[in-house]
Amino acid sequence: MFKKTLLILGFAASLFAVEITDDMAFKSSYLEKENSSKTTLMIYTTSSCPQCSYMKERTFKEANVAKYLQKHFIVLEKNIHQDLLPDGFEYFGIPTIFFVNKNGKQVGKFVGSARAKPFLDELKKIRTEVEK
Amino acid sequence: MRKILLPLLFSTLLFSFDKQDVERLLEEEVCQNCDLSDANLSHLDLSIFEIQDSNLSGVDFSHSNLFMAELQGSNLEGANLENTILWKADLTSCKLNNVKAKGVNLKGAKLKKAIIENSDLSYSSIWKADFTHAEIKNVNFYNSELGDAKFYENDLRDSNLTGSILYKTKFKNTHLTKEQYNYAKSEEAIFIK
Repeated sequence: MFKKTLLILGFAASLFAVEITDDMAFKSSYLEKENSSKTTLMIYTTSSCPQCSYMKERTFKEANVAKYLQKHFIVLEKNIHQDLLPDGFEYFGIPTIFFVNKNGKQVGKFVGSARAKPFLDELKKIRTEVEK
Repeated sequence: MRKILLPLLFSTLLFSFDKQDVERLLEEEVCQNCDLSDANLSHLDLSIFEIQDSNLSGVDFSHSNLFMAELQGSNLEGANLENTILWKADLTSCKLNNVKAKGVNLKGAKLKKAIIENSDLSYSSIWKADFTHAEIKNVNFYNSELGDAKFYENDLRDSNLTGSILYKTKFKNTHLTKEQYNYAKSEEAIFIK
């Protein structure tokens, strides 16, 4: 019971810590893509997360995924321990990937890791959703 | 007389667990040395529950959340762990024979000295799990994510690693077939001498 209370307090503290409204890096990504039809892919990471490095080093760099990302997405990485995080993007596990449209609205979320092929399918699905 | 005995016999056959143990577990979140065998504990939030040294054989934990649960020394033979969340759970010295665990989340789970035989752990998330000294025989890891997991002092030769993610997976004194070794190398596994 004590352990549970501690854990809940821990989570509450971490949620409070990320309640930041002014995040220039996040906003600049929108300024940058103002004239672009690209969707933002924002990945939340930590430095000690093997799944995050797998996604960044293997999945994102696979030829077909890289090509598709470059064409349709703006990729933004946020280290949850080092960077300011925008409001309204809730996460539990790491990595969490948010897909955000040009109005700043979350249009999709992907938690965890995946090999290139299923991830590319996910990207295509998001793209179809955005274009609707 | 037969009318009275028959339902009694069926109830014994259907529920081999101790009813009081199940009630104690759900009320107190702690149940050590309990008999919960064949109980239906699916779709429940059992996170941080303490169920050490218990008989959990045949229990249906499918779709339940056992995040950080403590299950050390328990017998989970024949249990259903399909789509169960066992993230950071402690399964040290557990028996996991004939377990159905397709889609289980064992991220960061402790499986030291566990006995895992004839079990299906395919399509599962097993990042960073610790299998040190686990006895692993005929386990299906097909298409599972085993990145950064620790396999120290294991024999994986009769287990299926096809399609699994072995990115930064650590192998130390672990027996692998030549095919498994080459596959692990291509996946950027780490071999520790």
